[in-house]
Amino acid sequence: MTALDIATRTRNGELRAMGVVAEALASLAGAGATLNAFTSLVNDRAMATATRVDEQIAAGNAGGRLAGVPFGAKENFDVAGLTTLAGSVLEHGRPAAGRDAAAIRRLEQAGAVLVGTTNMDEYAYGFTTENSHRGPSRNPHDPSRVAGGSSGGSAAAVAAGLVPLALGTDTNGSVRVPSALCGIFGLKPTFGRVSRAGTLPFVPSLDTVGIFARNVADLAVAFDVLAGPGPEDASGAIGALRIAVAGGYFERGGTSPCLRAVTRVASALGASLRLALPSAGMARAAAFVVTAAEGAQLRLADLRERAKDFDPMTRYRFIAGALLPADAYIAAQRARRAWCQEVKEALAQADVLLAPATPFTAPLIGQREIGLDDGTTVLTQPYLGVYTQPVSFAGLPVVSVPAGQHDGLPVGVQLIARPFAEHSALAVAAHLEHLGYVAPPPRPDLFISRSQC
Amino acid sequence: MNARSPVPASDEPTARPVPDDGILQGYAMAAARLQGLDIPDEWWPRILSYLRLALEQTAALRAVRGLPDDPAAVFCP
Repeated sequence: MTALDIATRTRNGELRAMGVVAEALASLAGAGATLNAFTSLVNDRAMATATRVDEQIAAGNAGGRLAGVPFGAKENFDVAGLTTLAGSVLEHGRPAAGRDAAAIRRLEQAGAVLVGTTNMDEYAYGFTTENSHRGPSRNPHDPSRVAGGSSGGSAAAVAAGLVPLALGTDTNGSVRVPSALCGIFGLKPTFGRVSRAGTLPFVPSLDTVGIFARNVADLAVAFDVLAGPGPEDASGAIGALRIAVAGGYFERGGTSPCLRAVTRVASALGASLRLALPSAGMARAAAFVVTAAEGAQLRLADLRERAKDFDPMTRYRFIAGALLPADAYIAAQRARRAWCQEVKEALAQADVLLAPATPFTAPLIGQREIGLDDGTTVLTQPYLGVYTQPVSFAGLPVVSVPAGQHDGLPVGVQLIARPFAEHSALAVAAHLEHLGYVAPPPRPDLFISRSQC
Repeated sequence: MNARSPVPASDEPTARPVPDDGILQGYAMAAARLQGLDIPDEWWPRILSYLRLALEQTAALRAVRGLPDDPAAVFCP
């Protein structure tokens, strides 16, 4: 069932939130454990919240837009009573959060029910969710492969149908990469559009709160709840929108299935204009430097006292970031200003840009290198963000849509809009969904619960 | 080119190359000491690999002509 189906039927009295949530918790403890998607379940809290939702509806209240909808939150969101671990053992023993993160509060005020926290790369520094402390999250379409990251647990849980919605964060692609690799929809809003209050920061000048769903309507309603309503979210009306393909950099360096997915989507939309964005490579280089420098500064006290406790997947990068000279950061921020101007000029010619979400489909867990079509070999982990990093570096909103499969593995496409124009990207996504060009692949049988058969 | 840019207008390359391994290691060890970081010997190869990569990105950024003077210190789209 979709999130909106659950909410409608809960408000109508056909379903009880307690029943929906109890079933979700049972699935998470059963088939969900195979994916290693969740790091903790909040059973008692979830059942208490669901009871309140049912009681409010029984008392004649309307019920919220997400009444009875179970959701997960990445482990870097504060949950009252739990220590915010962010995938790290360094956070163990620190005080529990006194209140929920703003995004969790917003979803629950709309009737949704938090069921647990999800796995992630330590401190969100990665694209694969191969967390050495927790173990990797697994891709529902092939459990020997990564779910993507850093919000991989959230994406895997939604792709497997364990929950219809999940919260993530996106700094360089951490919602869009796992959305693409798991074959679901993901929204990275404009920088600053959704409150980050109560999330553990990674790169303060890039971090955004995002959301995963299996259809555009669920994504749009969740975004409305998180950010406040916008104009015609997910209406599917794209009549006046000008759509272009991001050319140059965004048409090179990927495997052909991922590049062809953009061509298919462009063809479906009748988009023939190409915009080159010649500084995209510079933007990625600068994003790399900003991430390293800001990320390291936030972790410096722990690097001094407890460096051995960091995940080896992040430790050396954090330390290297702490050693960068200041002029590296300044050069990167100067490049950022120039890049934002270039993107602004491009988006004066188009309302939505199309680009690949990832350069290849889900790699195997532990796969250090991967080959590209041109014969070159790249490091798997950092290269996964090759198409997402330049986009978030300009703070733009993006919907990642599932645009087909290759060898049974999902392929994603980014729909990139102007700042604060999430409604444009959501409208194009809804239009493509209506036409049948984008949809999550069928779920493996293992993850379909009895009531959904 | 942006008239306010500090990047010289000559054709001389403006990117300083990333230093060789010995200089890089000396810099990194001194910087680590200044930052109060105690690094076991066996970690250095991985750290230097990442630091070299970051400095290569920086060198590429330094080579870009016409960047604005003001960094995007407070980012707002």
